[in-house]
Amino acid sequence: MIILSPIAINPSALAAAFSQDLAEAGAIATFTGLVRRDGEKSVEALFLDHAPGLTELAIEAALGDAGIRWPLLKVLVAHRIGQVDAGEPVVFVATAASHRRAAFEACDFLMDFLKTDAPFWKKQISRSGNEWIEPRAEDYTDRNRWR
Amino acid sequence: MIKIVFYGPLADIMGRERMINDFTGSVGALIDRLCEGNEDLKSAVSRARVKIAVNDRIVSPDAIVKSGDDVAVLPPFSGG
Repeated sequence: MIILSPIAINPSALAAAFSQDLAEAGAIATFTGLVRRDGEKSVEALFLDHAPGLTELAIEAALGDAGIRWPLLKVLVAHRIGQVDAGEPVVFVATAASHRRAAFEACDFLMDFLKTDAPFWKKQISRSGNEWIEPRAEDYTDRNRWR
Repeated sequence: MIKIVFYGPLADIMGRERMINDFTGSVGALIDRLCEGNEDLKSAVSRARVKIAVNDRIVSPDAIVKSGDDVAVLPPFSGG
């Protein structure tokens, strides 16, 4: 399941809903990514741009890929769009499987995908000015672990 | 007519959408045409690993675009 939301993500509520109807599951992994305040820059918010249609298609493809790599019972990707204030969740990923390793790894895989291969663009809004953020070299290295 | 949509930092330079008439050719040639007289776009496109989608599919620079196509110009992705 994919949620692209212009309103606040509530990780607790999403996790509670996700865990319903999972009688076969032995493991659920969740990840919540927050907008870092980044002390030096005094980040006030991120603005998330996306490409409607294309973004959903790319995430769908990644969910399909994850389902081939690991025996998953259920997957959720929730991602904010628009302005997200510092301290707020920007992304939430949940994976369910029979065993923990599949749940952990699929969650990790999907986050690496979202960082570098999903059509989103982040503008950092801070007191010192606004700046579009590109993935760090480490993000590409992390993504390449799965190739 | 071809609709061209820009995202992320490129939307700051070009606005969200442009329409182009009377063009049939490769994606690469289309980008070159858009860059004519626009040093900001030229610089951004050459610096970044820009991808192009035609009708919601990522294509290579030699793919042909024609009237009625929707083209998306996609700078490096940065989500999560």
